[in-house]
Amino acid sequence: MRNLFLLIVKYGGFLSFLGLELLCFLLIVRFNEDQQKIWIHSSNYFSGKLYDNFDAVTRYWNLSIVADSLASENARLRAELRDARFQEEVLGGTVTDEKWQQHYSFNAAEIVNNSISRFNNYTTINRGSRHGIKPRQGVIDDKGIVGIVTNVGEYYSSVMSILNKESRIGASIKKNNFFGSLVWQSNDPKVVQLADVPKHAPVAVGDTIQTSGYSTVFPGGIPVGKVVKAEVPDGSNFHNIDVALFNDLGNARYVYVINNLMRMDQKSVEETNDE
Amino acid sequence: MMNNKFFSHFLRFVFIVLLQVLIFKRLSFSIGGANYMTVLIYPIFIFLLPHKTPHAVLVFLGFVLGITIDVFYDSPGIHASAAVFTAFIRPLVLSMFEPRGGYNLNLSPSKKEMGINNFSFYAATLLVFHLLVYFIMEAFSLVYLGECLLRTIVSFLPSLVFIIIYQFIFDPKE
Repeated sequence: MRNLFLLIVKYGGFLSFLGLELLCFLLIVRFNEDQQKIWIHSSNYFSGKLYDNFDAVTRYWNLSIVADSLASENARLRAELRDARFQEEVLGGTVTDEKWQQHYSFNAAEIVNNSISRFNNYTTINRGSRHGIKPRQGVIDDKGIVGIVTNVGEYYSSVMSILNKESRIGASIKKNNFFGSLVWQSNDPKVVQLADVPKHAPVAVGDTIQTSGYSTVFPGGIPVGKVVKAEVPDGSNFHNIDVALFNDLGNARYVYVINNLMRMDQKSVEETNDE
Repeated sequence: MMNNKFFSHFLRFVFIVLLQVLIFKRLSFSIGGANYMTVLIYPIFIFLLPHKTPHAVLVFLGFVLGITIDVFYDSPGIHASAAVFTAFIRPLVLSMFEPRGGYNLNLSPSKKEMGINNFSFYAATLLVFHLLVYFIMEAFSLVYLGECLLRTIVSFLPSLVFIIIYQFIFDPKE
């Protein structure tokens, strides 16, 4: 206590100087408008600078945490993207009519993998057995035909494109119903050939080709393309017909898988012929 | 005796404050370039306090003087901070002008005690610091330090002249 007293006596002037200057300072910034503004402004400036610098340091400490959270955020956002989702819902429609029995039903699907540049092209769609896709079902898009389902997984199916050397699809000339098989002999992804049309059938450039409906795969009457070249080679009984496709398989995206509800019936009837 | 001295200092306090706020405040405003020239004579109250005044009391009286002036100048704390500073450095400045035999601690550092030369230098030194602190506090930023120095220089001479005239007219030892 005595020491404290001596301390105050010895440094009293300095201590009271400090205390009173502090008091003056507070009075100045409290009651003088201009000085108050300067004080507030510069204290903001300095504290802002301080926080800024401090933040710049601590930012490095937090960097890995921030990176992790950003990465998980990215993953979450990627999962939110439409493309990242498997659309479980089956889009489709059936018509119930007593007079008109449903013959075909359609499953909307989306092409997720496609090729047009190889000899044997396949397309993958995002529908599988879960959605009622079976092998030997036809696939069309809004302008023409795409191919035939070959392999079916649970969620995905593989479609043999009409741009495949193995593919044979029944088609006919719209105006007179002479029919043949659509094959792909050229390597032009826009052009297929209609084979096996007898040479007495009148074919002209510009004729529309459509599906014949003679198979269990496609209903009849689906437009396929237009004749761009028709000729009968010497010594042949059949036309060589080039058909330009209405659709472009290079950019097809939304397709429909055709489910022939009476396929088994037709098949079993036809099989009795072979016995 | 003690009460008498205290009373005389109190009277001088009141008188100097009145002089400052009634005459020199207006004077500062009426002379051309009032923005730069501010005549401050009230620090003489601090100059003339007795030698034996404890340092802490000196500083405290400086604050009281300054805050009283502030009341009239409508600038709370600005004059007070300058006066507190002036009171704080007074012993240091006094020691610079200390005669060989030391001060008579019962007296005040006045013209009569120190002689006109020493008193003028003593007053001038304190006054420069007082004005400088005052202008810096008024600007409240070191950005205008040059302007603060200019104002200090411009205000210094008239203030010092009036302080010395005051000493000639009202010698406290009479």
